[in-house]
Amino acid sequence: MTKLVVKGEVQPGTKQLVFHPELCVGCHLCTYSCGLGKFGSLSKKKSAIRIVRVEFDTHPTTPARGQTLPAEGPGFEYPHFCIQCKDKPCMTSCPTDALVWDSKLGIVDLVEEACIGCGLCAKACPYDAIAYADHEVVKCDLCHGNPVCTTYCPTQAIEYKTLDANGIVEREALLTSLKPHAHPRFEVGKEQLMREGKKEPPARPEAARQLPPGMDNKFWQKVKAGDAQLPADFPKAAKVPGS
Amino acid sequence: MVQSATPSKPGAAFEDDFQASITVDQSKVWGKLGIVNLTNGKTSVQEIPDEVRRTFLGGRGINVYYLYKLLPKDVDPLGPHNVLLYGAGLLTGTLAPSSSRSNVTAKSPESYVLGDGNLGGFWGSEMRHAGFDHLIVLGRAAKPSYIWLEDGRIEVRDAKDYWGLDSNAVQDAIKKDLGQCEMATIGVSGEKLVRFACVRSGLKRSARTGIGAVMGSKNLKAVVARGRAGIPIAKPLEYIKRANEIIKNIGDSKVSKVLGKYGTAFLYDTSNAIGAIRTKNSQLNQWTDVFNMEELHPYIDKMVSCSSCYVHCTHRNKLGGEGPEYSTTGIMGANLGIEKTEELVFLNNLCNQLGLDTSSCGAYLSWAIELQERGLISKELVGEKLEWGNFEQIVRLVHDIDMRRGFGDILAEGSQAIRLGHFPPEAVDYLTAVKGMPQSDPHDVRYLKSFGLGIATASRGADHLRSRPTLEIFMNLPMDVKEKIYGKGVTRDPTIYEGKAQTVTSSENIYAAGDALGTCRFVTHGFNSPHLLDFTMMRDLVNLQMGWNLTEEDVKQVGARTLDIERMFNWSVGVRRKDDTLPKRYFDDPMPLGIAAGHHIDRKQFQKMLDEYYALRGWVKGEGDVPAEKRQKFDALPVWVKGKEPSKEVLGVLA
Repeated sequence: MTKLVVKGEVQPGTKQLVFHPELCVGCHLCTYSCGLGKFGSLSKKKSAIRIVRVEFDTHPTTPARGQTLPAEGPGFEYPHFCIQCKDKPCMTSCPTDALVWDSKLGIVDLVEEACIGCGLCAKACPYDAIAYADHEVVKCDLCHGNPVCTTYCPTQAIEYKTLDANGIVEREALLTSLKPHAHPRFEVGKEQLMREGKKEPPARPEAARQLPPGMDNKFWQKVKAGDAQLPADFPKAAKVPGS
Repeated sequence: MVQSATPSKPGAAFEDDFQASITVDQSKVWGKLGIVNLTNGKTSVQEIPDEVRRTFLGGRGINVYYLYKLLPKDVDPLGPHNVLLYGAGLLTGTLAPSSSRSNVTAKSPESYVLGDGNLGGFWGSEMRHAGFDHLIVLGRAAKPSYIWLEDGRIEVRDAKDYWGLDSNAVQDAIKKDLGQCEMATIGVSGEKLVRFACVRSGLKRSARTGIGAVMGSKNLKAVVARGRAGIPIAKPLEYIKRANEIIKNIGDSKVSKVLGKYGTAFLYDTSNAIGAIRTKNSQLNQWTDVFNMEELHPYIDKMVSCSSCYVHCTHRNKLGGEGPEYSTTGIMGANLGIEKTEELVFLNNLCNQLGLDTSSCGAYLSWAIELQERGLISKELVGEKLEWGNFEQIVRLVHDIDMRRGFGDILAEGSQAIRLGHFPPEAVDYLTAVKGMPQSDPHDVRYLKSFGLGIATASRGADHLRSRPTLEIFMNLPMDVKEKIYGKGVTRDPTIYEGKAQTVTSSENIYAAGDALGTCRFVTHGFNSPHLLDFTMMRDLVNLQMGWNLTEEDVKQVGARTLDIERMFNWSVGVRRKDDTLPKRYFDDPMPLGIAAGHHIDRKQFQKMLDEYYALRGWVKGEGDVPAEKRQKFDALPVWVKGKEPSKEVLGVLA
């Protein structure tokens, strides 16, 4: 039984995924293998790892190892996934406490039975590292210690290795510095938004979210205690094939 | 959507969040055949008949099949009745190794025979993830348009904001407007109907046979896709295991490692060493070392890959483009007498940005220089004296071709310049082309005879990617290794004529099967290594993805069938034995330099090779037609699923 510690932090000495933008060739093998191996679906929407790839636009160049801020250059790509970050707004936003901190593996894990598939965690994630597809939450849990993506990476741009204190800080700093260039999972451009009648791109909402009308934390506590019922049309979390 | 303190309607914000969940049903939006009639803007989404799917699998095979079935007789390739097809391979966009490829097919405006280009990058996989395996484009739009594919839907949209942009700028602009998407697009050269304009996607390109001009002639600036549906896999767990094994096998091969580090440019060195780099319009066969791997390496910014590719052979250069690849190195470099590495990288990036095929562009420029040297075209026609290796002049001419200005307007006609009366008929003897298509391979084929037969019989003109048995370069391969690669009946010495028909036929078959599946040459058995994707691995991946029970022989037959249908198409546009030939220079002029000195192709021996080739293909002796019993089988195949034929409105003149 995993010991649950609310909002712990990745401790030095735990094994984590590390990414090296300068080695990533942008092949998407990690994306497809994650989708298929973990979620039984070969698609970009249902994959806990994705590739940010910039060929045109502002042309930032790939940061060299140890550097964070990209300079002007011919383009860049890097693998993007949940780094089990320090703040963990996903956990705060979850109305059912379906996201739990596993201190042993150093991951924010999804308890499928508790997940109602509302997608608030995906909206709350400041890195857009949680996917929300078919009312199902798709989040990196390091495959519980055996990440499938690393076996497909041709250049070891994703590594599963023990992190020291410095490494933890560096990893988050690198991801933060790349954030301005990281388009959302399915970024929608100006014209597309106008067609949909929206003028501005949706801003990423704050971590603390509103619950549906009539539902608040007390209501959830009642549901958990068995004193209240969920509405019949409330979306259920889809089951992962094979689970 | 910004979270405000008082939402306009209670719960409105929450509803929006539900919309944000991507709910595309993969099993319903998958493997479709889209049809767009640009003349009236009508579209249709069809299924591909199962018989057709099993006969050709996908990609190149199905594209050519539909071209053969749909193209009316004697159409002008740049007229509204040409049929333009985009087709992804059956494995494209999956975990299959290097499964990024798609084909772009039409009747070629450059050669007037089969026009077919292969496009890597991310377009093919995105198109498949958007639910479309194939797309047929008919008619001509009244105004500049682009096609939008998203999760099983097709739309024709206005492209007035994008018309007139080069092939990099247009992608930047479209991505800003539409967000995350992939596209196949053209530059100004395509709009201006330059007969060797290419189709571009990202920094990659489907260079050959001038399909960019076909897009331009249809007023079609781009086909854009955003795919969220993905691709269903029948047996996910077995599939992922098998794909991993195959990918690891490819990653372990020596050639993949070299390609992943240096890209295709390392081949220049190999070919130059034996004296087989076409130089100054094939007048010479060896050039300086300035384009060797170690010279080009400093220009590499980073190695990048296409979708699903373990090999990652493309180098993104520091001057703002990708490449140069081996072909460009030879043809925009040695063939034009360029002597500086930086100039080559610049020319490569320029041609790509403008959307021109570097192979054809370099070939026509070098052709013009030689023609002027020989007095076959006058100084008045050109307007200046053309010189080998004059970088500024070449850059200017490339821009002139793109804009169809001055002499560039004539060069933009490519090999059709003779038919259109700009160049004298004897000029054809100095163009290194077959069936009106310049040779893409910078490799001089007079030395390795299988290369010669390969470009002579290639269905889209002098093209090396249809059959290039690269391993023939290694002169001393043991007989058992050679037989393992190319089958029984081959010979060890690559410079003799015997057994070469077998080498070419078996290579053509497996490469065509690879094109049907959308896998790259660099992972195909026999192209660069004998240890890569063979028919057994192809069969496994197809069966696990589709849930079929194909045998190895079935997959092998797909290659042969693709070659048959291509021959049937070419036959219908008038290709006969006389067209399966080589440039005059390869027959009559012995090579001057290096180990290869003195070699040329013997006409009699060549005809004998051709006879053997027709026999191995099972084609009719003599002219090489596809026999009647085979034709009947293809003619009996359905075009549409029975009872679901597209409406007459969509098919337009084809109905």
